[in-house]
Amino acid sequence: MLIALAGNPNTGKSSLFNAITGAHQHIGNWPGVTVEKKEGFVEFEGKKIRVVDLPGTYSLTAYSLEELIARNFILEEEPDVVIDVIDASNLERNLYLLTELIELTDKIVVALNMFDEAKKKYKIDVEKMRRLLGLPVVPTVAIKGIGVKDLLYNAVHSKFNPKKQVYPEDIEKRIEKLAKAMENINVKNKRWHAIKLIENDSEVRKKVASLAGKNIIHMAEHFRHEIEDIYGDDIESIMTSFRYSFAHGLFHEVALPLNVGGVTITDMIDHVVAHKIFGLPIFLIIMYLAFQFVFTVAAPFQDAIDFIFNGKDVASGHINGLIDISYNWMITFLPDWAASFINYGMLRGLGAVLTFTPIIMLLFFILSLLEDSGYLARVAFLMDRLMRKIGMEGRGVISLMLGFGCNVPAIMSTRALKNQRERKLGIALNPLIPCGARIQVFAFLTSIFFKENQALILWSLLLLSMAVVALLGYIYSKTIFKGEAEPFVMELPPYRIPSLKGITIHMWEKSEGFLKKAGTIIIGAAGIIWVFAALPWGVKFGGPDSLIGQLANFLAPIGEPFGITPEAIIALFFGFFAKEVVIDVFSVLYGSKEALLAAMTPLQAYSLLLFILFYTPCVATLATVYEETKSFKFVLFVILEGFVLALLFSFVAYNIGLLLGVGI
Amino acid sequence: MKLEFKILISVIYASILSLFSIIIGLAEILAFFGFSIINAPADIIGGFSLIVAASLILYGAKDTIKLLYSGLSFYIVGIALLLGIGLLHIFILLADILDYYILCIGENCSPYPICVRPEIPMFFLTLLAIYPFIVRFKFRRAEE
Repeated sequence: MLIALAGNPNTGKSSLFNAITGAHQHIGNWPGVTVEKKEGFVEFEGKKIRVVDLPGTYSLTAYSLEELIARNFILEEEPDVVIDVIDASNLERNLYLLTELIELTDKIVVALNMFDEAKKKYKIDVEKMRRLLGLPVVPTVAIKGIGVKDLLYNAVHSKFNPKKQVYPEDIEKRIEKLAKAMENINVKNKRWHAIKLIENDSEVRKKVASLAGKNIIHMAEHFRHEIEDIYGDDIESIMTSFRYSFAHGLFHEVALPLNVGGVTITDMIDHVVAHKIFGLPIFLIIMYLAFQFVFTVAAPFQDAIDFIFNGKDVASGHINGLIDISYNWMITFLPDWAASFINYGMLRGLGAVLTFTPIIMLLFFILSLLEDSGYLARVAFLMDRLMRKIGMEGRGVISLMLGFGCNVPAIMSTRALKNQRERKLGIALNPLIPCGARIQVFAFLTSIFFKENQALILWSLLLLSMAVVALLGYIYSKTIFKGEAEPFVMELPPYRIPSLKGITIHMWEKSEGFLKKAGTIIIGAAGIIWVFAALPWGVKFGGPDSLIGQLANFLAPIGEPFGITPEAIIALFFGFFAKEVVIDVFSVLYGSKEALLAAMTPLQAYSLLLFILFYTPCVATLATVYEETKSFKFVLFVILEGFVLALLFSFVAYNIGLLLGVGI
Repeated sequence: MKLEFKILISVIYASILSLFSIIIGLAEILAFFGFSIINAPADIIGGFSLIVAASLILYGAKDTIKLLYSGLSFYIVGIALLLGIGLLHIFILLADILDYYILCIGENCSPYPICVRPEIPMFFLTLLAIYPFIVRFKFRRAEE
């Protein structure tokens, strides 16, 4: 058996080596260099173990000879176990090397050396550290020989299941592509090689170039530039920062400093924003401020888009918008119905949805700002503690948060959850998080019915959805998805001022889908709704004799107990295809905000908002649920869950409102 | 002037500002429920935000005077929140002005009737309280 000792300089590695091997040592040099190589032997439980003391290093880059020797030994000699000797009294700093070692090998035993010194500085939860890392962790005091036998026992008997560092999706997918491109090359640990190529590691570049030619190197260079563009920094700083985030997150999870406060700005801010009393109110305030910002700053842009499409009535008459101008032009060569269909059907529907894109773009701008600054990771950290109580680990919380953008990628992101129970729990809860499209509909309705308290109403809806998710999660984890949360390290990157370019790229990546949808599905849906409102020919557009009017009359009794109007039921029906279509329906049917305002009371609008918050997700989300679970029953469960909640909240809110005489 | 004295002055100043913020915050919450005092806008969460930010400053004040990081942490987050709230209202004011003139296209509108929320002057007043943050390297941990 071969054991390698790795670790930072001055962590007591040599003392541990001496404590393990005693007098059975051999000192020489590493081949071809003048770096000292120490090797020794020990017999444990009848097994002869060869122990190699690797040079002390802070990381595993290719900058120094020591680093190259250490990583090449682990990569090429493949020791049965690597013991990472950590100075537990400087825990956070020493964890960085561990993040790199985990990328290099699975078989690691962590020795928390100088544990007696560490106990004066922090209270370390060793068991939690074991669970979070998926690796054996042994406290040692090498100089006194404490913990050495335990360390060897763990090295010989342990099973290793390390929790790997997961980089953000835009980096992970590039690592994956590069590793796949190296499939036919004879290198061990392709993921590590891919990471190092992206990091522009000179040694790995040379090695891969000699084995596979320049193509892979060019691909890596291309990926590197893309990542640098997205994050607005050089690759080394970016990757280092993610590893430090992992180390920082792990440290916060397992070590409780006995003194309060810290030295860096990050420590000081974390001390408050992750505080058990102040953390949550601060998060709620930041969320509210974000919504206020989004709605008020978006308003002039929305009005400008509305003006461009619809024009406006002024004292001297009507200023034509794009729709009227286009209609007047088309009528010269098209029949009236066709010009009306294109302009007052499709173009008006498109305009109605586009009016709300400034809100979506600003929302994603703020989300990217919070994400890139490092605050969102703290939110995940804060919520993680709460969500563990409902049986879900950190990555589940992240997938739920992604749901605020779009439920489709959010449900797909539950793949990161290894535990099937947690995955199903995540998929079942995700459609209850209002996606960007639902938020557009909320923005549309609140801008008409609750103009003065738009941010407050939306904020209350989001809080309600989070409360329902927490409560349902708790119930599910005690009944149909029984079990405990898997341990997971929440990464805590240092706070930084994000680059405008990075935020803009992230904002664009997230908003792009909505704009594409507006140009395809939404415009098509608006056309279909126009046809339903216009047929049969000759009847009043959208009136009681039109197809849509007849359908509304038929459906009217269903919505009555909830205060939902027949037209709103039609909007909800079309919203099943894409939630933004709800805006289309209202725009085509009512033509103006004033007409819509006259058709519903604020109480009815609030009841409708609650219904939209929970009722069945769009068809794309349901298709994703099926793809991820391969179960029609699960899809049915998601639909039913949404409808039950929507009916319940809508009914309760409407009838309490009626009883109290509020909003009628 | 000695460092401790400058910090003391800053913290006293920030504490007075915090007390004003709490009063304004309470007034905004009360206005939301229909009890309008000192012409505060009706904004329940806005008022709550002011109270939380001010509470953080007051919570950290004592230890900040003692030059301890534990106090400074709360102090700077409280100050940052007050600045954030003020900055938001500056953006809101600018957006409102822009929106007003967009809606005025084609019409004869009077100039925008500027109505400044108390959070905006509070933003500029809060800037004067950031001194302890500037000298943060002089602070120490609790046990030293």
